[in-house]
Amino acid sequence: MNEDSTHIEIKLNGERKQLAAGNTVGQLLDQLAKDRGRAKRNDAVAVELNAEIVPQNQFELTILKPGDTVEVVTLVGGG
Amino acid sequence: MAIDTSTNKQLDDFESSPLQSDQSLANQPLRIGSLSISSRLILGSGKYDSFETMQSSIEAAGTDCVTLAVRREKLNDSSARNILDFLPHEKLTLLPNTAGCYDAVTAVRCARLGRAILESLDNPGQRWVKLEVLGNSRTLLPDPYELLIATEMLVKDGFDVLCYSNDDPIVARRLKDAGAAAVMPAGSPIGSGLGICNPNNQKIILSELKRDDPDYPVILDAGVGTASDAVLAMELGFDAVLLNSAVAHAKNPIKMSSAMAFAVKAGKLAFDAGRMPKSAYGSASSPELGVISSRNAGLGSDDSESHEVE
Repeated sequence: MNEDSTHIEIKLNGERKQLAAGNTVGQLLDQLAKDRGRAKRNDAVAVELNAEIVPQNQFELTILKPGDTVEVVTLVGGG
Repeated sequence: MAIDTSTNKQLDDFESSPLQSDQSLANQPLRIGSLSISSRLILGSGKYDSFETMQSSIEAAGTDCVTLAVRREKLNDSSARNILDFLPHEKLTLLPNTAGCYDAVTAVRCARLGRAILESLDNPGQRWVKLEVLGNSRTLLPDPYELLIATEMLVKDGFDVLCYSNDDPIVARRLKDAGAAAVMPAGSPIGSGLGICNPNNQKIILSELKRDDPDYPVILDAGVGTASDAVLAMELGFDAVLLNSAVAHAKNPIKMSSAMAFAVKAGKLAFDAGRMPKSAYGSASSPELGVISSRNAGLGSDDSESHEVE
């Protein structure tokens, strides 16, 4: 897919990801849930945008830009 | 040896209600930085065959503290279930780790992400981190240099840092001096099940870190293979034991988890009780006088010396 005025490309968890222009971090999380066939987003996540943590209360206000590097992490089993 | 009065008070409480094990000496809360936990057994949540087995193992351990790792959210895995649905996280203090990090900068990023997740869960574990900075992927032993740098950075950032460390007394001292809330030496490599390979180093670490600071928490982390390893750790004077593989990879994880809960309590009680001195020779428990037959004491007997051994 090419970038156009309606879509942007970001790097999400090390992979290229196309996304609607103007989407927020919150909308990205909703999209991820949808991609995985889930009714609602995983709330137990942390998000890093260009190596800076995005506070939970900024998810809906933070608009993603072309070329952003985003990490979405969650808790898994570990010792 | 002088026994302080608070111990006597707790001992009285214990003796008056021996069946109330939750009131026993083995269950004094453990203070680590700004947090307190009631269990001396901290259980890892990794490597179980299923979330259901993990959940039952946590119950069997009777623990209120469970470790977790921080990983990238899978983008396309629709089958994956969420571990938090199987962890009663509103009742537990979650301890996020930085497992798999090989340098200080990555470990610090990982710790901050863990904190952000626990903030979203409103879990008290947001205040601390189990800091792991590895130096080698085969041994999984820590890189002390990067570990120390990461400790300094995270302490500055307000974390209670629980440092997974080598069993090296000098490294342990450096970590404590850098402000670590607890030092957690490895008994042996992570997941090896080899137990405590160098008890003498562990004794030195305990003695050095607790000198003039007896409440400073020192926790055995990694290497435990079976219940006797956990007993030994507590008998040496560790404040708690952190383990995962010994339970997750037991044939029956739930039974082993229960065994570990008993082991940690038994070891803690034995340490607090203070063991008897060792002797190379026997010492009769029954009276020597009044035996119905008269015989001499046997070949080579000489009871004029003390036979205490270290």
